[in-house]
Amino acid sequence: MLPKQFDYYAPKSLSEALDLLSKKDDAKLLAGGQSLIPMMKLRLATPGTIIDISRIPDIRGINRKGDSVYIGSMERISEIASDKEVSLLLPALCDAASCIADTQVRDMGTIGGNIANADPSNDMPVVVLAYGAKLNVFSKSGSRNESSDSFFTGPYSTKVNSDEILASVEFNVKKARHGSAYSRVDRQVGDYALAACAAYLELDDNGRLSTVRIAASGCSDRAIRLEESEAVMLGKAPSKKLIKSASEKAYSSSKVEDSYYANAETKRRALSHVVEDALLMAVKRIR
Amino acid sequence: MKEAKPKIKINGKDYSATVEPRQLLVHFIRDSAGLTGTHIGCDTSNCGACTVLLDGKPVKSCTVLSVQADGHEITTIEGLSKDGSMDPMQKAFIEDNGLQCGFCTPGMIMEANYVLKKNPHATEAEIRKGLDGNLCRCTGYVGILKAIRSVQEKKK
Repeated sequence: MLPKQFDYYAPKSLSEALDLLSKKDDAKLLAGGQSLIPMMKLRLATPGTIIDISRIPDIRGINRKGDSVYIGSMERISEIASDKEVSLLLPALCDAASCIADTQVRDMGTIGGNIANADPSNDMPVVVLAYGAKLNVFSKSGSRNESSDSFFTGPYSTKVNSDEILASVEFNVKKARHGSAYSRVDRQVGDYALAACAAYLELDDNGRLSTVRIAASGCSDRAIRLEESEAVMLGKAPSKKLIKSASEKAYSSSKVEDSYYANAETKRRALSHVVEDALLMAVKRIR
Repeated sequence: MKEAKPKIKINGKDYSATVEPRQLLVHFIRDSAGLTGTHIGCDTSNCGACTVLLDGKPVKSCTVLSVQADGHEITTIEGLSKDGSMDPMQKAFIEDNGLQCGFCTPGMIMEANYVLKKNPHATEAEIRKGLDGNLCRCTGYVGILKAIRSVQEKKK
């Protein structure tokens, strides 16, 4: 089907976009459109106004500034997947960006759209949680940084209000020895993940895990941190056995239910597999 | 605005039309520009029959609004043949039975060319991954892979 008719604006600045958002009741932001346009074609979404933010220069780019990597919300997934600095400094982000949907969708889709849309099975929220990234949100009254831990509030729901714009994501690159990775089991080719996990680990001078962040999708109504699995590993030296217990903890503490695409047991097994896989890769990458 | 007038360069030629903002790029290409080589297969962003290059990168034109492509450059299947002669991938698809009904073929060829351009030494697994967004109901992908591999071989 065709989308329902709408008014269309393509502002050239954040302030112009925010102004439009505040004036129009029934508006949706258009970034890459790879989630929004399919929904509009099915008329699951029928915004009266579309505000295309693809022509705002401030929200593009991948920039290293000191200890942080700033990625504009309009940055295309495929650009992130092929960025050398991202693959070296934020390998879990590179891994995840390479698995979203397919080539064509990755060329249009954006990191901001994937985060702000917050489909429970989206990949970027999981990565953002594992890295403890900060989300930079603009409103008419100014900008603020949101912590990733409290950012995802439910299915398709984040701390970005309907009159605000997610402008960029800030990843802090730590000096401590660390390793990170992303692992994903597909539902089917080009589809959402059945389960996915991003792991971020830091090692202290005694070879013990001083930071353990394990985030996952496919086990809740949003991307979450697996706190019980993290507790299993924190303060200990990494080993295959330790990783196995963390993944078994993920299996046993998972509160999934049957759904149309998989039953609970399948989801639990997929989850424990991606937890184990991501942790093994993250440990291997510790540098 | 309730009306839009996107200007889009397709295969090196400028096109412009007054359209509703909700017009999909695939309809601009097929109806406003009259280039019907790009197909609509599924309407749900799955099949990739509508694949074209937007500023050199493959996108599903059924999942892009014409207005998003305003001021940008598109290459469609029609843009591959220079002066009436086919490009190597088109020739290979014919010689190696890369098509039966031909409906997925334009999108498949656009994507195949991009996969090899991005990674000339792609393995079969990497080629298959690159084609994740292009579905074929006829061939079982055997002839398609064969055609792509033969183009890859010839380029060596």
